[in-house]
Amino acid sequence: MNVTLIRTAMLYFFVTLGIRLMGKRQIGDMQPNELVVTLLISEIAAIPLQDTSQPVLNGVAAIFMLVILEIVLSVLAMKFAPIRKMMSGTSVLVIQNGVIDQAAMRKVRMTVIDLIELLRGQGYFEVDQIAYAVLEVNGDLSVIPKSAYRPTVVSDLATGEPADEAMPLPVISDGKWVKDSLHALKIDKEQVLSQIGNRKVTQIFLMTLDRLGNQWIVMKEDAS
Amino acid sequence: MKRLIAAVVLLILLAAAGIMGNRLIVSRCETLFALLDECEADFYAGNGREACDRLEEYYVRQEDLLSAFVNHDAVEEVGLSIARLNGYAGTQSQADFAGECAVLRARIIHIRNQETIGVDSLL
Repeated sequence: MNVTLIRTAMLYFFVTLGIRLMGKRQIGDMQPNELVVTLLISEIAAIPLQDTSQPVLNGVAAIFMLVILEIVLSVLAMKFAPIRKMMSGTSVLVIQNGVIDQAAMRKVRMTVIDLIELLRGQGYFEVDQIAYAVLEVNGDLSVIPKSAYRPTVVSDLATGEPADEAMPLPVISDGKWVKDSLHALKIDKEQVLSQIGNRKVTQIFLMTLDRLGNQWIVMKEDAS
Repeated sequence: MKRLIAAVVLLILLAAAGIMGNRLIVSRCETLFALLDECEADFYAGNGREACDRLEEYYVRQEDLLSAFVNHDAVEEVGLSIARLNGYAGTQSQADFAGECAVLRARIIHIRNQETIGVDSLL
């Protein structure tokens, strides 16, 4: 039993170190690959705990190998959009201007009952109250209601009427074009370039645009 | 960036531990084969006891180190096999001795193959 106790303490230390290195989030916020790695680590750690004939080193080596792979893949996903897309998937617009995109729902294998449940969770009971609804990669539904159905904000009082709703999309992210957003907004690179003036795309950390032409630009720290 | 550096350092440490473990197991297995050959040769020459004692002493010294990298049951089975071999060497029972030698070789080969990258160890 003493051996089991000491092994438990050792594995607890190494698993905690490994999880700490990965920089874990709450279970509900994890990407699919992060959840897989977390579950695998717990399973692997249990093996030398239950079977004292297994060398602790084998378990620790396997845990750290998973940590290394997770860190390397997350860095690659941060730098390369195709890898990020492959590992995490992409958000999908399921409702636009009160109309459900049935093809998008089929693509994410979501039923209309699931959608209505998620809308109710956000406090909306009718689809035609929704301007935009985006199914995020972690399964959450982000909703922008139509201006007639959203709470009044200070800017509405200033103008006397609610502002048109629009969903900003990132068109430049970390110095690179986001083609999906350009396609969704039905604009091309030249139109965006005319809006950024003298600034270079590679110097921009984030640029968002919406259908009303509102833009927001954040420059990279070393560029500004 | 810090996490990436930590991951690279960890990878280097794991690679070093893996290479060290592999070399240790392979070298110890080779030594065990050599000592077992000596033990067999001396047994059939009429005096196997001393050589088998050397084999047993060597294995007892290496057992802890091997247990850090190899399944403990496999390590213990080799130890038991060597002890039985020593017993048969004492009683001069040729059939039992030959059988136990074959079993011991197979067990050492199994330990060595587990650490060697190959189809059977990977799959």
